[in-house]
Amino acid sequence: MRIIRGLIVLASLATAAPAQDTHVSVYADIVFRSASDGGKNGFTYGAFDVFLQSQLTPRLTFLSELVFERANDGTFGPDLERVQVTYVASEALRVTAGRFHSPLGYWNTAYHHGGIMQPVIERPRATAYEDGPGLVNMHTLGLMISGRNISGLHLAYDLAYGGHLDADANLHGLNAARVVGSVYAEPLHGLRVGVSGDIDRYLVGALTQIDGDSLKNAMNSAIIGGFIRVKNDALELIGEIHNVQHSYGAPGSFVSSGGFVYGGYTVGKWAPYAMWQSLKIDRGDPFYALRDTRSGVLGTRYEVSEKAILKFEGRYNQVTQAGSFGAQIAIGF
Amino acid sequence: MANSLRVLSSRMARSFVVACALVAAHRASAQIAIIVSPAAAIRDLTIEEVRRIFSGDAVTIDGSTPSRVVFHEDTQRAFFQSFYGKSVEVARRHWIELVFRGENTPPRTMADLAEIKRFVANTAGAIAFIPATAADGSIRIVKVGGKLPTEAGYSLK
Repeated sequence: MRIIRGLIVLASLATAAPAQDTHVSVYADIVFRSASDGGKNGFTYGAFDVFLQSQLTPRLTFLSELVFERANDGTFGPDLERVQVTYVASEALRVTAGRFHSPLGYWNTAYHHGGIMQPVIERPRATAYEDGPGLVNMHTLGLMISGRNISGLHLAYDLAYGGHLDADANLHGLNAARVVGSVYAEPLHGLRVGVSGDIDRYLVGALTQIDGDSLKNAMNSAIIGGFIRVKNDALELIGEIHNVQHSYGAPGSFVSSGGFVYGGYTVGKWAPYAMWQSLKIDRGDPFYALRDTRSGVLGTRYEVSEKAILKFEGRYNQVTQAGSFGAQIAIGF
Repeated sequence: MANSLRVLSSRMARSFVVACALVAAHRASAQIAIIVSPAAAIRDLTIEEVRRIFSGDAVTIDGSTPSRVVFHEDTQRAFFQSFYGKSVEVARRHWIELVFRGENTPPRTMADLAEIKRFVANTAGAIAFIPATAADGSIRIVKVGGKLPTEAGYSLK
């Protein structure tokens, strides 16, 4: 019922505002999984993603992304992933207010949702802290300034100030504020190299990634990372790494790190790919539910049409010695 | 004798002018023009700037004016193939990704040349590619790499 109500509201918005250049897109996917370690096999919903973008004035744009997905409690419902208003002052300065993807690394802003665009079925664990555990927090609610194409190196920056969630929500980052930013250059067409970082403070009572657990001590978090991406019409290579330090009062400081490398090559309608990811989690850190991971993915995409992609992939986790097979059909229109 | 030479030289001059006009017309017929509003400040774009504007990697046409990119439906295939060396489908996929990331607003695709010229003429930041032969006084043709479509060495074919 909630889904239907949401769709009716979105449809009315789209039909009510054709004069101001409003675009609505839908992305959805269905996933099949089969695991060798006794995990659940079968079909699952991916995400049903309703994306709305509107040019309000020549310099002012609005963007929202409402995703219907399975929550941690097993229910399938709406989640307002992004709502952002952006003012374009110039190529070197844009100001965005709202809830947006934190500018941490490359994957989070490039392939956050929309299975048809994401090159693998499941995003790397380092960039998955959203509805499940992951290394770094992927959303910010606040204000962000950005610039692109600065100088001949095509320098770009994003600098955001805000919190993880609504300040009224008694969840992660209770009343806390974070500063998160990214700087990158594109010295050659298709080559992007950058660094990103995040300074954050979680207050006592903020939820940890362990179910039902909250922080007993305030936590200062510092993240530093780097990324590289090479992309042309056929080839895509991505490498990304994050180093996270959590500092508490009495329990002390804990350092965890993680990252991945991805490579894919398109030949006609096929795009075989491989990904390797690694997480090294400090076991004493009371915040993480994550475990050490070293896992590989081998798979291929097949372009059924511009609006539909099939993916088939096998995964193997070296730490748990468990393998799995996955298939996904992702559409977007 | 002198009179005959004058007539001959006059005919040769006329033939030369006609030949030049034909060459220019032939060049223009095969060329793609980048057009903006006559009120826009820009008159010249580098090849890299054109590349970034029409691939969606730049959000302004001159560093400060937000772009409103327009694709001419019948010209888009030739434009992306010859200028970017890629299909229009690949170019569109890149645009979709940029829009989804919140990096840019979607381009418009229009089939009617008169409609494109009307939109470009009346919209700040509007920029389009059309066949050079369709250009007229209602819009301004932007030089690309310092050259107009009628000049030798022009890069958009």
